[in-house]
Amino acid sequence: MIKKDKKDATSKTYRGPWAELWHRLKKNRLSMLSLFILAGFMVISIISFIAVETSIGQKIFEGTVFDYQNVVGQNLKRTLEMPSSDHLLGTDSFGRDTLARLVYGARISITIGLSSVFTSVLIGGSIGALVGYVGGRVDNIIMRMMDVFLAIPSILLAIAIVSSLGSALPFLILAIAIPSIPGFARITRAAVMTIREQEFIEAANAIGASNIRIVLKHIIPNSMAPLIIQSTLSIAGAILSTAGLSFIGLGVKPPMSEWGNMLSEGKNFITTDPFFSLITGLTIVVVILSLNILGDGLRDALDPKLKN
Amino acid sequence: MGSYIFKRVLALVPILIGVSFLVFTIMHLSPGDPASLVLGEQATAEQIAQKREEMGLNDPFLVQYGNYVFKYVQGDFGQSYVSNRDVATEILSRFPNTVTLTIASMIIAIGIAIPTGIIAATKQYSITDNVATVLALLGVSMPNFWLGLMLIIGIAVPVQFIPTGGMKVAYTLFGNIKIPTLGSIILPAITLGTGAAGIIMRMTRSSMLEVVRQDYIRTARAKGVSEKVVIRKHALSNALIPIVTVVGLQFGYLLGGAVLTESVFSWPGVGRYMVDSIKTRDMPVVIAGVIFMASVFTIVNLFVDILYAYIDPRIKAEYKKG
Amino acid sequence: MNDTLLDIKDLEVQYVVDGEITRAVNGINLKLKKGEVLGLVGETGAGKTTTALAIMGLIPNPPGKVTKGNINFTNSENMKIDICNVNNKALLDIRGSKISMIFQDPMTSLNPVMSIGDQIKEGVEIHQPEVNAKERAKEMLELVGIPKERFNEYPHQFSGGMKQRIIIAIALACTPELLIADEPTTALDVTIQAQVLDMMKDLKIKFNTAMLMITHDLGVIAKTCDNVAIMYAGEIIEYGTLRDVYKNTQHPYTMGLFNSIPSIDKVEKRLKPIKGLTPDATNLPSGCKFHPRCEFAREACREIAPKEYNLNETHYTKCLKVEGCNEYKESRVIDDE
Repeated sequence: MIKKDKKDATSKTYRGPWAELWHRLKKNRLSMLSLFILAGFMVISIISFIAVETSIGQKIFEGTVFDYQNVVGQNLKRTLEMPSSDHLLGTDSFGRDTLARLVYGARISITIGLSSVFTSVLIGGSIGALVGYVGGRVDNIIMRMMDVFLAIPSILLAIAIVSSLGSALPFLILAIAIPSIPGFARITRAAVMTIREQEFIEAANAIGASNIRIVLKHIIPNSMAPLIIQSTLSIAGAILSTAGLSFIGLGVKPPMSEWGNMLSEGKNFITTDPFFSLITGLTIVVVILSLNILGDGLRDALDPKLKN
Repeated sequence: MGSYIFKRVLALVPILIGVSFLVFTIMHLSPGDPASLVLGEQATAEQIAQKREEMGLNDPFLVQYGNYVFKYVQGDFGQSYVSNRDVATEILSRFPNTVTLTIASMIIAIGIAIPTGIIAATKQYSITDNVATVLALLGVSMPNFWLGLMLIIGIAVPVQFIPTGGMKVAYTLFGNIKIPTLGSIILPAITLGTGAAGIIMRMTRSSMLEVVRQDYIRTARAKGVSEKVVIRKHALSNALIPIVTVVGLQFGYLLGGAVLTESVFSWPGVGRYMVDSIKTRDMPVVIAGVIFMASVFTIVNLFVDILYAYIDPRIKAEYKKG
Repeated sequence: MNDTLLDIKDLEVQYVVDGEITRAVNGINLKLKKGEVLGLVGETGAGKTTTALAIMGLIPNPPGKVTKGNINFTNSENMKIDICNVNNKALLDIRGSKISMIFQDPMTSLNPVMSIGDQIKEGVEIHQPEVNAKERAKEMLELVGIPKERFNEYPHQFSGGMKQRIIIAIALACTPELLIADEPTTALDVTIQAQVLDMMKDLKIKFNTAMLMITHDLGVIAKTCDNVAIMYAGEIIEYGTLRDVYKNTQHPYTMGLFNSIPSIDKVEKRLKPIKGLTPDATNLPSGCKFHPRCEFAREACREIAPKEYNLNETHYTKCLKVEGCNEYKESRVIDDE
């Protein structure tokens, strides 16, 4: 009979950790919808990139919402229009097509969001993995330095950086990345410290694996789960920060379109033409909401114990 | 307890030094020359050179920093490049308005979030729970300046007694602290508090769900304690610890978020002053403003740490030992 | 005179999680007289704690539910209540005053942010408002061997054994007629175990409390109980007086339990653990639930669920072999493939 029990246990299909994660995430309908929406924005951003930055793309997408001419081309005879067949979401105060500007803005927001989070994961993750693994005095000193960063509310730190260095794209990305570095450092450090104590690391040590090999092969793959969750939520935060900075004139500058500076523009005619601000803001809400739902879904899927 | 508080206050010093050093360094990296900013475009090279000497800009970086901190702790935040006014006076006169706004939003956030979180947790998976959870997520996902704009067109424009911006003073206390009218603070406070409400609600819900599964809750039920009292007396007092942490952290976000909200509603606080100063590249205001707000945030976090001891006897015991 | 305190009839409890039904308790019958100590023995997952929670009316719902049966409680004023069919108000009145429970893990069973004195007096305040709760709580503390001066201290200031004493003080503060002790000593050091057990015995005699002692430790049962019920996969498979079950063991599972513990008398003998694992309560075996692990199992055991078979007035078991029924005798031994 014991034999039979064993057979039952193995008859359940075994999946790798990523396949298992995907399997669990698939059951969460809201998360899948969010993923679908985000994939849509991703595709739009890529098309926008091709349409603006490549010569073939410029030809193919000429005259469409992806055409850069529609993003910046003014038409002062047709300002602040409501949606029509020419302009599906109407026009802004310079007669530019709102949809075209939102599409271009999506590309900017997603670029800044992804690259700033990538930067902070890379820097924060490395710092955390290093100090978590080395421990001792290095750990102490570096984590105290991280506390200093955490003591400044992130939007204020970003404001300080951009107002000093200017808002060229690399600086903007840096300004948004730096405040979230300590968070990633802490998460990785905690993960590394728990993993370090576990037996399979000792086993790897015992068979003579080098430190770097242990970090690359064992510790990094095992700290992925909390990092992925935090990254998803951080992208949302980064997009919000970018919009916030642009709103107060510190981020992406007109005539380039970005959701925050569109809202800043919309503020000037908010009482007479609220539709423009409404639709711009809703776009941001949809993206951020999707990211947050996906983040929650990932957390539940990665650690079912936390779900209650 | 007293010695613990003293130790914690002492531990603030290196953090505050670190913050000021960091901000000062960032600002120092600015490519612009403050001397020419102060003097304007017509200034001659000699005038600029003289001004540089006067402002101490030729000193080594650390000396400049040392001088700055030395003056800062004495309450001298420098002079505005634009208006030539004393930055400390300008910031301190606006600070009460920012505090009023922050506290008002926190009251709204806590007032909505904690009861909703408790109800959602006690009725897990009910319609109430689902609606509350979705609303909380929506609150977290909204850019607060956009919510502000929407409230202006949705409420301030149609409703007579609610202004679209600015602060109407109802009373003045101690000559400096202005208490605004309810009408003028309500929209900025909602705008600023919504995000915090979402986060606090989510924390309350998950913390309560965690606590009600604990063995000591079962012990309380086994005594014949009614469900209401179990939740209010046993569960909430334990769930409060992580909630207090989040509330403390949210104070920081509110101080940061105030920068945007104050801009939307033309609220005369430190945040709007800073935004205006950034536009004119008025560096002394930006540096002093960021350091000032970060210091306030750090001190708030200290209060939160001390508050723990009153909620959790285990932490109090640790404090006594340490 | 009717001296039955607790009468459980055909009790079934199920948990439903993600559409999967866990059958924790499957039709148990139990009687407990006033002042009696009944031991409930079984492995982890046999449904002991679920039975206890059902008696307290504390099955967490959802996911749990009493799907069948009654739990009749008759108190000293001859008031009869079926705990499975009673309103919430009446349940609250019984809990902590007539029936109390001591939980398994003293480390987590006390509220960490409330002083122990307040925790002891809380039940008294609810059920006996006429009594000076603080005085009673202090008396209880002294009774369980903790100086009453420590009334205002918090749980983290006490050791595990002390915490369990406090929990006992909470449970006995209103002098209940039935005390359910769910593995009261499992989490404690061996030396402390003996102290706590002795104390419980003394208090039981002092208050004449009936007790349901849940444990997997046969030694604890031998030391404290009048009667014993052996539980397996949500059923009681053997029941009798301490003597019946210990000296005249019948069910193969009970025998297995005794063979799994070392005995000083029989040094030469090797321990004989029961093979296999406790069955998965979401997928219980057919027939006799013990048959997959039973060395005497025959094909009949797979088909027929054994009924209670009385060996004498106090002793019954659920086993086809003991019953000696024809179906068992005629069927073949199960081939392991």
